[in-house]
Amino acid sequence: MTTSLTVPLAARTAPAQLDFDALYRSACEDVFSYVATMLRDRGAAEDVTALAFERALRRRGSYRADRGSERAWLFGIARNAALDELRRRKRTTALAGEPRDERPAPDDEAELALRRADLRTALASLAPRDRELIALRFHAGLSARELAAVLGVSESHAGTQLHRAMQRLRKACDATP
Amino acid sequence: MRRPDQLPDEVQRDLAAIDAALAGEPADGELAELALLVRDQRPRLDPGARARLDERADARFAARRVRAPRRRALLPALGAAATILVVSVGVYGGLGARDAGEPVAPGGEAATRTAPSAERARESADEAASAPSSATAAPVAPSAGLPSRSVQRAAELLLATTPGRLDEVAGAVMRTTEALGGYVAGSAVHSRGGRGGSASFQLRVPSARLETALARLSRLARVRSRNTSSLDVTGAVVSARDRVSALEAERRGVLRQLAAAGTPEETEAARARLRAVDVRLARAKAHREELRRRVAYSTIDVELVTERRAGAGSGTNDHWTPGDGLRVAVRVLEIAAGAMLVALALLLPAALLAALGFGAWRVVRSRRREAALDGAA
Repeated sequence: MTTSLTVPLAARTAPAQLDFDALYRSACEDVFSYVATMLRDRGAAEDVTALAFERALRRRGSYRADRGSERAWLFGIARNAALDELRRRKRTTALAGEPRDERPAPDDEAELALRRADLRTALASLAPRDRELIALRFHAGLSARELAAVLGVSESHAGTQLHRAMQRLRKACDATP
Repeated sequence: MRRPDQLPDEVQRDLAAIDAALAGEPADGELAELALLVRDQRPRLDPGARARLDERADARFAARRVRAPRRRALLPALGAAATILVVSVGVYGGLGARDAGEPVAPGGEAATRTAPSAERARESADEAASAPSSATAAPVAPSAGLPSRSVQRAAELLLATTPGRLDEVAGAVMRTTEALGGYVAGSAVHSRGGRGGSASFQLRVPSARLETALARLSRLARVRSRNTSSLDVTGAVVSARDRVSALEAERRGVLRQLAAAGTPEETEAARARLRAVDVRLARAKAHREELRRRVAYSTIDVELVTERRAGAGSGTNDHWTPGDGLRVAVRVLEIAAGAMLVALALLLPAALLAALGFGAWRVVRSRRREAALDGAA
């Protein structure tokens, strides 16, 4: 009896090519959202986003498809750039670029606008680590697997941390007058 | 590692509801609703900011896009190769300098260590050798307007042969000397019957044939070292010649006085003076002849030793054989291997230290970044 084994050699030997332009186009907005939430400064977030993509382009040879998705790799770099900026500034500023919607809202939307304002306040009051988890998951749109890859933890640990962060956010919202 | 399905049921349920809500599917739960609100709160790039980012991206990426992404990965390899090359050349150069006395090929010319002054003198001697040889002196060919120079030359030769060929080479040294018109001023041979020994010779060969003599003697055995030196004795020669001329003139004067002597006292006084002048003249002539001999004949001190190493005492019948080539190749490989070993010994600890330092730096940097999160408000 003869058996055959097919090994995808090409997939193992040839590293996946990184389409950097496509990655930039698809992830630029998400990176900015994540960095802006972290820094709470739109101007600095713009600079850090540009810096993150520049670093990513410089290190694009280090990307390995078997270690995670392109987005996870990119957000790992963006996270380091954001943390470097946080270290450099040693202080945080209020998120200036997300002005409240001052337009008069219909009655059915007034409740929603109020909830959004409360949420913004609650989000700002969270610990940076919780805020980062929420920013990566909901503002950057990372999947649970990508979130774990960026943070360098297991998927279950990332899920647990995210769940705790959401619980704390809910409490913060409830506590907001 | 804890898998997703190992999460508590409540957590799993909430996370699943959040995922469903984000995917646009109907989902119940307060956290799912909150997740949608949070997503809607995401900071968005306004068109102006997006345009600025695109512009910066185009400007910054354009230059880097043209570079090969793998080029940086080659830098460490190139650096290591360059380091090994430099160390190899240095080590090989060091060994080469230490083995300066080694022959380039068996029976061939050995590297000659010559002092700068001796080297200059040797060049002068080469010029003298090309001039017609003289039986009494070997003056260097005179330059226009300058007196001919008298140069006293000497050489030292250290030869090595196998124990069994000591007597044969010693005999050949003497025969070669005589064949060139020279003579053996002194010799001492200590032979232990084919089990080694040594010999030394003080040879005198016509200065005009010094280079020929050295070349022939060098072919008798393996040359371990060869030194030549020279001393310009023109002043002494001229001085001796002038002194002889002066004494001869004085002697002629005394002879004239003797011939003109009218009394026995005057005759006796002239004869006494003549004897004194003759003694001084004889000494002056002897000194002049001694100088002439030194210039006409060069001294070669030959030291002959025995050794058992390969290539020693190959003698006159030596030729460049494949075996010789193999030995040289093996030697070169030995040196190259040694150089590689030294390079590795230097590079390996350095690479380990660098790797440790790099690892430590990354850990510290990572911790500082995480600390920035803890410190942020």
